[in-house]
Amino acid sequence: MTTVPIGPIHPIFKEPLRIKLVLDGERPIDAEIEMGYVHRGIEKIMEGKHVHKGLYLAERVCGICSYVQSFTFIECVEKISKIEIPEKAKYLRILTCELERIHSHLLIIAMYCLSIEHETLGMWILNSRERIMDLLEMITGNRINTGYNILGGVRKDIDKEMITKIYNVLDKFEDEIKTIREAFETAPLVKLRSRDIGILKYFDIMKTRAVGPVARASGLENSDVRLRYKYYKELKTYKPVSRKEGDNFARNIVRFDEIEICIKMIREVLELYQEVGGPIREKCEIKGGEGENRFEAHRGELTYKMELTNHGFIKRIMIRTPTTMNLAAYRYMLKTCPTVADAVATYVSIDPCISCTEKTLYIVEDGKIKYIW
Amino acid sequence: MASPLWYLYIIKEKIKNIIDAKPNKSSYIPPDRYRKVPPILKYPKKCISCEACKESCPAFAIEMYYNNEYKKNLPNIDVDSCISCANCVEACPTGVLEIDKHRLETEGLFFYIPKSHTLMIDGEKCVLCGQCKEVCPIDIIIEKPDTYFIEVSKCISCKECYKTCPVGAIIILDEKTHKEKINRFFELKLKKSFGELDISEKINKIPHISKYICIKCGNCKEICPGEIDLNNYKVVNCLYCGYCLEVCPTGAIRTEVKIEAKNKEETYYINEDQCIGCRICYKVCKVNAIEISKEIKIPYIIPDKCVTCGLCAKKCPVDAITKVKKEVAEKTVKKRIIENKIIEIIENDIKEYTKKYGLVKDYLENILKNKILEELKKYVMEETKKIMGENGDKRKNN
Repeated sequence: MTTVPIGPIHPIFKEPLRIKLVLDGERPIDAEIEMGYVHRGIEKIMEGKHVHKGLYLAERVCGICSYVQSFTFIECVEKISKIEIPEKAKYLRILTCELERIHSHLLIIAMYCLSIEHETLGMWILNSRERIMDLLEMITGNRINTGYNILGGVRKDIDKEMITKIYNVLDKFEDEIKTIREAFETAPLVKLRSRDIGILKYFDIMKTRAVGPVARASGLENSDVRLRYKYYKELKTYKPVSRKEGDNFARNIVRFDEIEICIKMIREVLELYQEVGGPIREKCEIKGGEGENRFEAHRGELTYKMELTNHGFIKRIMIRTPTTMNLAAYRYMLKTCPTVADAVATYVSIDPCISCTEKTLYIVEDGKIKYIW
Repeated sequence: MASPLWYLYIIKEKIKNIIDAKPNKSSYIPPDRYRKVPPILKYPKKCISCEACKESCPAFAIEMYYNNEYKKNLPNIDVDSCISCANCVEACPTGVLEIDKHRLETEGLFFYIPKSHTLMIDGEKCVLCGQCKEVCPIDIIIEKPDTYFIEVSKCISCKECYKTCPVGAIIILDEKTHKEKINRFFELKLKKSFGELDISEKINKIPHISKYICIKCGNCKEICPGEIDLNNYKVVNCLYCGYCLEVCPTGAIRTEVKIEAKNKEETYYINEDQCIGCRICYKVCKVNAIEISKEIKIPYIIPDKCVTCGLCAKKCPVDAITKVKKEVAEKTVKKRIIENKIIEIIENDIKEYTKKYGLVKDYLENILKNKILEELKKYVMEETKKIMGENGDKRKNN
């Protein structure tokens, strides 16, 4: 038995993390995951701050899905103080959220292609992702940390020129994504490196509570909070995607499928947006209380729990990000990885985001504290 | 190659290069919506130095500096730490700052103005002078029958009202004190969960909750070993441990209310020659600082009790009340106070004397009345015996 440490600094990791692989010959059997290199204590900083400042801090929890973090935060505040946002703002929020979902999924597929040494395909994907980033910049004003949400609505409105531009860009983007998907499905290299590797079985999900595309690739179709979210119930084009294989290939194909549905949803939302009128933000008063909000981030289920005082001061807050559960599922995927290189590729396929996940966490097994993250 | 035409050609090319070396301006101008441009001071003349922009900034990028040209404090925006959220543009009440076209788009809309400090008026301390309403630059303070009230969603927290309030009835709830209290709360709560909280008597009175400044954070409710009902602002069961007073971020839970004057050097003074004796000032004063002289029947102000709110001077119909230094007022007022005291002592003596006199009188009258009645009865009985005779008397008795 030998152990191979990977990280905390490694070319394939975007963020520092340490994985200790236990090997039998060349086969990885088990893994220990060590965290704590990018712990920032963001929940402790938020305590005592006003909601207006906490909103911008919540946006900086994650570097890739920053809009979803601020979306879930502000919806939680509005839920506690019973504020209803105007129709226009609702559609603009969905629009930005789905555009960000496309860019996040494309980024992680590109990273997966780089990790299995298919660099050409990775570069293609990153190239077409840039079209979506331009749209995000046009709508919100910024590429990543948008600062688009505000209490009771959104910051800026869009006009007719922008709507036609979004339609045109989406038409072009749809053609590109079709060719990319064909290349991904038919390429022999991708098939060799990702089919039947890193399988997560349906019953292992029950043990680890995996969420998001990882769970949906293993046959758990209902693991999608959008099914039960108030905004998405009226959209006709929205359908959850699922696959049954549960390997690396299925996880990426689920993401490709979701991108297609996202494009359809954006078109429907734009049509709905043009029908309604009125303001984009509303006057509101913050009331105290406790509350919780869940939303489907690009990686899986995201939860914000918080307690507010009157006039909007945060008393305490708890953030639960999806990678926490998916990293636990990673240990079960290792059993079907033949080599160390495949273990690394499997790690990338769960779409890990470490700086979101670095909260103080206790994992209890059999009445004992087994992991402290 | 060596011909002069060639050299001319090269010189011409070089000159053309130098002329063309200007940067292509259109490529440097950012697109319309690109917000990575910090806000600019567009109309510095309009600035009222209220620091609303500084309050609203989530990244601590704005600081106020004195400007010699305009002779007032102007905001200075640190470009490196600005996250271009446009909060300052929305918060500015006079429209000084600008980031692309955001000011024009949001002008006239009503929404929650972003800020980090909250100002509240404590209704139990408020003396209803109305100075805060006069000072407020954006007119958001409302008068209510028992107190003044700040509309929190519109407030820009410029703190002008806080500076002028004569009794310190306005409370600032800022993030720093809030965080300190929360940290203290978690410390105590940890102790409580382990059962190490020392519950011994530290205060004498049962504390009460002021409904005007309670923000319902629930700190006191969670730490209290007894019972607190926050919905009705009542302490139901008290063990006199005093932890709730330590933990409250606004000081809404307290044992006693003290109204103290900020300005201790000056006081108001009634000019007795101008006074017409209408006694409006006496009715208006909320701290009971005005008494009426018993010698000349004209009101005077006690300098130790006066909080210099100026409400009496405002209501006076003949402008007889003015602001003076305490020493000047004390000279004349002392005389009235001593006069009043002497008259009061005399009056009290007379009252007591009359009381005693009345008591003695009543006593005597009662005794006399009874005696007279008894004697009358005896007299009547004797007279009737004489008239009726012995026979008639016997029959009646049988």
